[in-house]
Amino acid sequence: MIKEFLKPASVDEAVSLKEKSGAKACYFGGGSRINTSAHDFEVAISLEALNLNKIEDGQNELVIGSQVTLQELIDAAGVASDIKEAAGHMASRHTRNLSTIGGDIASNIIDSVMIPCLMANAAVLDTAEDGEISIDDYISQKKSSLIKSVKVPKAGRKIALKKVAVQTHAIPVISAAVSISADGNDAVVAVSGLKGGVARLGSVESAWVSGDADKETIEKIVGDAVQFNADLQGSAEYKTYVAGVTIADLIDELK
Amino acid sequence: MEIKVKINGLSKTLFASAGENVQELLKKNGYISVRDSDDHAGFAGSDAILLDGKIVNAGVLLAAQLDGKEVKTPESLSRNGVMNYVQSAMVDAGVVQSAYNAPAAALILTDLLDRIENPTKEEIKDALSGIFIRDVGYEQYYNVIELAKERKNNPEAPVKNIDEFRDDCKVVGKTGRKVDGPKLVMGQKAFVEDRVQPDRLIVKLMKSPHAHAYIKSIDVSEAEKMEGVELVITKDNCPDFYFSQAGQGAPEPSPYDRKMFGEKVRHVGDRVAAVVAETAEIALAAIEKIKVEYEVLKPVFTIDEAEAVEEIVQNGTLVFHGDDPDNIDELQKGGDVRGGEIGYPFPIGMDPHKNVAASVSGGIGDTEKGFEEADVVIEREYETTQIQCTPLETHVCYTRMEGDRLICHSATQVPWYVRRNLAKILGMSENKIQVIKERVGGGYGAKQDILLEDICGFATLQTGRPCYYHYTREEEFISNSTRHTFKIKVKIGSTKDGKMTGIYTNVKANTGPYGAHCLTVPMNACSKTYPLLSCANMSFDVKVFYSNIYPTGAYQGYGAPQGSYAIQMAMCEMAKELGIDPLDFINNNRVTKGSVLEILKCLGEGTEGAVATCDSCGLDDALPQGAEMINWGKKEESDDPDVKIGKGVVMIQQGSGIPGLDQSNGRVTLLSDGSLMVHSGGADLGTGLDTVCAKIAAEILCTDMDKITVITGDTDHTPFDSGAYASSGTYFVGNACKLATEDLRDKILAAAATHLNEDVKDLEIVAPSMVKGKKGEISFAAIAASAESGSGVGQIVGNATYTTHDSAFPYGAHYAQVAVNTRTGEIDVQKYYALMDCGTPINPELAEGQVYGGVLKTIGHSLWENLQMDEKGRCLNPDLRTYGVPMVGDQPEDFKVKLVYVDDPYGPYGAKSISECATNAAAPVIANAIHDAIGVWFRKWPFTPEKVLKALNKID
Repeated sequence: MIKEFLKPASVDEAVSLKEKSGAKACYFGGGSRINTSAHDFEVAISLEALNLNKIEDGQNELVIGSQVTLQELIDAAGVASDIKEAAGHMASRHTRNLSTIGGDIASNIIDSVMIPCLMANAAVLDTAEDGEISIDDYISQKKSSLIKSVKVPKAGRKIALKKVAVQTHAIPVISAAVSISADGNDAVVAVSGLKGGVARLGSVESAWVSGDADKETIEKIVGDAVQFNADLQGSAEYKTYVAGVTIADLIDELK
Repeated sequence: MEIKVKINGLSKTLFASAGENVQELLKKNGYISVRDSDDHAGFAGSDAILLDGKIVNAGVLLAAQLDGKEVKTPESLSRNGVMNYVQSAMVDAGVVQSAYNAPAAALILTDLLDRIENPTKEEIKDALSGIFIRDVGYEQYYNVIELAKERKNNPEAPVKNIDEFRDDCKVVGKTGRKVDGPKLVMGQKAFVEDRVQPDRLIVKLMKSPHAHAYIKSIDVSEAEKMEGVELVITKDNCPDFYFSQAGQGAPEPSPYDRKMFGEKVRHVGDRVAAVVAETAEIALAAIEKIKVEYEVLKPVFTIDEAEAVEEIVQNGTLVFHGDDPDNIDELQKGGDVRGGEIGYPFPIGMDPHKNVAASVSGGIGDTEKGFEEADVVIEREYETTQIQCTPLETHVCYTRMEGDRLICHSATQVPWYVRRNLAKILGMSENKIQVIKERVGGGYGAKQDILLEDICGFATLQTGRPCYYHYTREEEFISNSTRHTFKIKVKIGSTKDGKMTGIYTNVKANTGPYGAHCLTVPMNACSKTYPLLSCANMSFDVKVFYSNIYPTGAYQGYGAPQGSYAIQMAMCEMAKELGIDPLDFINNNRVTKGSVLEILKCLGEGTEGAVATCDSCGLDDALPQGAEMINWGKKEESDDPDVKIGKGVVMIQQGSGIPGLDQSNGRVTLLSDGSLMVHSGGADLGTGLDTVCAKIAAEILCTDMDKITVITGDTDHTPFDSGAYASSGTYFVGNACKLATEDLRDKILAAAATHLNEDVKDLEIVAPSMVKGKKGEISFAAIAASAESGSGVGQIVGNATYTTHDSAFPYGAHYAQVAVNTRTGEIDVQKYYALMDCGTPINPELAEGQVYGGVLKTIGHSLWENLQMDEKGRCLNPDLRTYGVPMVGDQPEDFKVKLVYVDDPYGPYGAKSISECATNAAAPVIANAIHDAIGVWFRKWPFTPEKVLKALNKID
């Protein structure tokens, strides 16, 4: 249970407080995940006063402050439609008004919709402790550094994503996002819900870029690349099948 | 810490720990409309507030997050008891029913209209995306917005888009303000939790971690020593009295197979001990200190396992409160005193030591002969899973002493049953107990049982202190009642031209650890389905088994949804087998007005049944109207080659109370100024029963609704009523109020005749509250003044008791159109049309809402909802989200309810019941539509994408 709620005035102060408090402290954005999950944290370090709630629309990149809420992303001008779509998959407006993009990334839940989307966007995170780091590395290396902003390149990538869930508020079976560069040489295929959480599927990306894989082939390569646990959302076989057809359809959509 | 916050425009300083939950903090500080429905999971939205102008869930905020912020709660919307434009629109459009989170919905919609003057349908859906509404669903909220937009500028704007009925009536069949609507939507004190005083003790249960075990020993000494612990209750110090939790008429047909705490636990979550303490934290800490040694037994979960009788769930001593059956020695074999006692008011075909809780068989004609005469015979098996009522207000009870009397504030459907059983369990006489049914934040059958009242009442008697218990959402899932799981075999014979020659149904039901409603719920699989059929040869076998799944009991529809699923599907399967249109097959084999329902003679609920006649039937209109609405017979095609579209149709019925068993009483009093006070024992669950009473009195006595107050469900102050179950409200309570009002009318007329010196036959009641004769007129007030004077006849009161052997059956025809994606398995219910005959809809807007709610619940049961447990009986999804309740984005895009007017000869003003009936169609009509789309029969709910893919051989 949170016993202490600290409100640092700067990023440096926040980092210092985190260092002092150690494992019992957590960075605290909107609180929508921390306050609804079991945890051992006793100290919350609020990021509210750090002025990280702006969206800057630059020439080459969109810089999204980590404390921008998912609803603010949806309402903002200049945010790409795929990122708005990913934010909208948090089905409750109430939660979107609290949940921040930084918190969504940092919580690194295995069924995230936003993380695959940002991977497809080749997003880079500006963090306090680790500097700039790709979202792929932040997730795969299970970083917990304070995210200051999310930098989304305006690289002209074509992007498509889909959340598969039986209901609007259900835990997703899978979420997938795919993208391809304008020259067709750089593909991203990211999927969540896997046994290990969110990951990119390199073999599928290679097959896509090679240009000679049809839908059926993509489905098979996906099937070979993914591993799921069976749970309330479905059997591992079902999830594998769904991942295959979903990714194959998304890639087909961008062709 | 000190928190400076502006709440509803006023600067406040609150004192709280940094991590204190904001919903609890606001409630503690008097903002009672900020309620909790989900243990602060941030799902249900009953705790909605505006934080710096944005809608959020208070339950997911820490107190420290409020510092320096501005908060608005639902209390901010009304001033001086006057609703804002959204609140009044909600009440008048019919969405304020059980209303536990109606204040939150009002805040959400006011925020929407503050942000967007003229929102689109998508924007309305988005606004409602964070609130779970179980009673009426979401469809009527579009109408709320239309009305609210008008009322923003014109507070008197009339409600639109709701059909009205009965041109000969002024208020019956017309839209009109629900009598308790304003106070509910404004979040005023109405629910049990609003009555709790600060000196209360908190009750918490220690629950079994095992599905099936004996308690070998229990040591509560460490818990009892804890400061703040007032009492610990276990099997060793609780009353030694066996009862049934099932609230029905006396004597209850369910076995008396549990006591407050027993030596054997029969499901994960079963009662082990109760701790009564100053705070919840102390109670929970004390529970941790209780040492229990269990002898763990092999659990029995499925019907097949129960039939195998390797383990006996109810192995106690059988006790018959009437005559012992001839085979009592045989029945007692295999017993163990540690299993306690199983009492029977009368035999119900039980053999508990073989895990059989109840059984019954019957039929008419000669079914075998019917099958021999058939050209085609099919036999199919259907299966249903365990689902939960999920009221927004979880079970709750608050007990206190007044002198030597126990006062019990309860969210119950059956206050008289609660009093009767509390008296027995606690060893008191009924005059020493008052049960007050507060407003009920969703019942749906779950609150037809005693779950907390016995423990709270005992705790109050022992401590002398007020005691309060409010279930958590997890407790609501695992320590409550759910819908029985069924396995149903249906055999149908038909001629090749589609006339049924015989039907046989074999129902096997799983009642779980206790036998609450174990005979009557499974019987409803036949008693609410067979009377729909015009077939000379019908028979059934019903057998119910004990097991160690979570407890089962009453749930809206009461066994009829499972039976309807099986029989309506089997009829559709037969139609397809014969190459006949399913609608034609239905029409070939259904009842019509005047049909004699002979089958009912063998379908009594614990007693012998009686043959009834179908004296009103709306199927003649509902079936063709629905067919036209959905373009029945036209094959729809999707642009996506993977998507296949199909349509389904079913017919359904229910009852209106239980003739021959139920009773309702009413009393209508003429007050000194000519206004009226109606007293009824009926338990309004939010469905508008109080408004039914008020409308009937207003109609008969030509009195403004505003001059009528209805008091119900208080065992001290209102007359007896069997309870709110079996769709009895409008029919029984309404008829009792009608008779009582007519009794009062006759007395008023007699008094007026004396005053006016005229013949009674020359007098008539006219508005407003007057008696008019040929020579003169006199007001009710003048009549009352005279009656109450020193030389008067005394206060004028109308009284009535309503019992009957006449039946009023509501009917319905439901149509659905589904799209099934054969590549992904996704099922989309594109259209759902529910055409319902409830006779005269006395409150049409509320009736529509109950149909929308009932249908959406059962769409949920058909597609998503499923209480799941692991191999040890531990619940895997004891929360609303993972359990799968429907939210606004899940409902059909095209969703319509149409009330089909029929005048019933027995119902008050021709009214019949409505809400239960609406739950009987979704599973079969969706399953039939899926078959029409992809040629696959789904004979077990829920129907999931994974099952679609398996059926299509896309996955193994």
